Amino acid sequence: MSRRSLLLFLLLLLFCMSSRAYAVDEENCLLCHRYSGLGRIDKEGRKHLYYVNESLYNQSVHAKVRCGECHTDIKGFPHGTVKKVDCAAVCHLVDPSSNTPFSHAKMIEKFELSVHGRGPKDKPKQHAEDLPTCTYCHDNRIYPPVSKLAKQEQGIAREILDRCRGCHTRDDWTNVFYYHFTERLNQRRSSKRMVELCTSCHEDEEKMARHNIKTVGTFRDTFHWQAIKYGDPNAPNCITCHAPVGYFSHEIMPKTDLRSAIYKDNLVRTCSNQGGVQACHPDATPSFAQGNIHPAQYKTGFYENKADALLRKREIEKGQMKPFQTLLGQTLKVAAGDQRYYQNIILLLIKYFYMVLIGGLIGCMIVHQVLDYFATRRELRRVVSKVL
Amino acid sequence: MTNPLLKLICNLLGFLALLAIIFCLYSLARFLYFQQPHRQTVSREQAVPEKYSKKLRREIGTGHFHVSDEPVTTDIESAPMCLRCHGNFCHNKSEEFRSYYNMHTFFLACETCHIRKEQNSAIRFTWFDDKTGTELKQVKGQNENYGAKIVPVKPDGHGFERLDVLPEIKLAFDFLKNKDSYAPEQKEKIKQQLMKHISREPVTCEECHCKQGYLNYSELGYDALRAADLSRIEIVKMIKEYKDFKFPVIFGSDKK
Repeated sequence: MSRRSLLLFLLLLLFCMSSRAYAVDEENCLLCHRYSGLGRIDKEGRKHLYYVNESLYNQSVHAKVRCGECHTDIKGFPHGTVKKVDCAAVCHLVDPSSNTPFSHAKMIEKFELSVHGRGPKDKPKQHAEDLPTCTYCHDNRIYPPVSKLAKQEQGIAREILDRCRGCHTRDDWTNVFYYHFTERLNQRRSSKRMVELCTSCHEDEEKMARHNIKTVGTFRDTFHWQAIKYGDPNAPNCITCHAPVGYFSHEIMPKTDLRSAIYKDNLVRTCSNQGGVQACHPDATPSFAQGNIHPAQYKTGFYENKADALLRKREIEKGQMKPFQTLLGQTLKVAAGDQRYYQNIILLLIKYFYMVLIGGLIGCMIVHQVLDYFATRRELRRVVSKVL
Repeated sequence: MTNPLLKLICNLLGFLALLAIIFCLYSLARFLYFQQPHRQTVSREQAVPEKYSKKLRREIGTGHFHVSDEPVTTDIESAPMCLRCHGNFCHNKSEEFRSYYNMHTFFLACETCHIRKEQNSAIRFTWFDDKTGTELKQVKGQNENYGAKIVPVKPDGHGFERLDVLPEIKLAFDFLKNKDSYAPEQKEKIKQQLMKHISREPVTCEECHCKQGYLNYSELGYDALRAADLSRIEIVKMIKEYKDFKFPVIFGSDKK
């Protein structure tokens, strides 16, 4: 072998080796971004951290996406002011179902027209800054190890991954595909985490008042929440009812919209959830479905919160309500209508009845036990003195 | 019941039962009548500003997209005095270099750069464990994330003196506690007093990242390859010698 051909061979070998070793970070961004302290604090006191943990990233949903495919405006160094990532951008991945370049654009398009979206471009909603963006709900999810998935879902196991590897010899590709597929068979978040996510906005009274929406604080008073709280895997979270089978979480509509899962005519189907992972209330009737899952804005009783106060203030200003109409829960009567007002009174009475009953019963039992203890002692003393 | 010991035991058991009942009653009353309100969630606008003293908790909507926050927190209890005032991400003046400077605070004591070693000085540099404060001959970890920092030390009789300790530590604590009550002039005076051991000109990037540099990487335990790597200075050169360094377009990342 001549020196020239040997050199060419070595160069080729080096090229092959390097392309394999830096499969993900071909742009060598990790030269700097692998250091955990790479970051700064801006003038508003917010931290900007530019660190990327390579091993975590390689285990994440976007492991196959190169940095430059999302951070499209970074063309040089120093990076200068960098634009926010546009999740609707087209990346190098190929959608195997259509054999076209992959993008989240369609998902975003639908989302923007949903109740959570900013609305049509020519007619954006007010207070758009309150509305969730992609990264409010999603981070670059790290795939859990197979052992964890195997505990959650039957049929997911290391042996199956090994079965895939029989044909698909590139482990990195097979792992990502397997993780993606098996993980999507499961609910992405725990029900508890899902409720936390939704209520992070929907319990914010000021934010909800800006959009004329009532808070959902009372969800945590319900049986559904108690079941979630104590780890019942079948307990329904927000998505279970607001995007049941046949609906999509990125296309949630207002309840007045015919396309909404909680539109009055769709409620029976939503409660029964026939055809879903589980049929929750298969025998649900229209009157069953009418029940208030999380009565808007007020808890059981004459509960008032800041959002109530703001709405009331506006109604007083508009002349729809008199200033002293708020006494004895009249505000609620006006705001919620007679039927719900009286339902609420009944619920309130039941609640107080049980509070008094339980407290009184246990209290009397304690008093009884204490008196019994002293009586027994006195009796014992009397018997002993008689015997002696 | 004539046995006094038995009587005593019975009485004790009786009182214990009473206490248990009272505790149960108290718990029940708390559960029924004094339930804690639900946790108020943090709005997006209130995103946690970085404070060294607070361990970051991932709040919904405020987390790092690349989920990289976790290893970047340090416990205030073991933090050097400088960082308790200035925070982990303390460099802010130079827009181009601030992130790079901040990166170094995770593995260099501030004094490594901010107390300049005179020529022929006996000062040497060595690793110290962040938590235990013991000197380390070897560090474990990667990407300079070792839970240890390079600290300047000065031989002192039989041992050495660490130079990353503020000479007037008592004054520093006092200042931290009462800084809001001081007048601006008084504040400035105390700051100057606290910083009097700090060199006016810190050690520059080029001084360390060059052959025969300020730090001896081999002595610090770096292998020959890494030491050679650290003795180069491509990034600094890229910033200083090119106004705008364009990435070569060979990976197709700019396709439309």
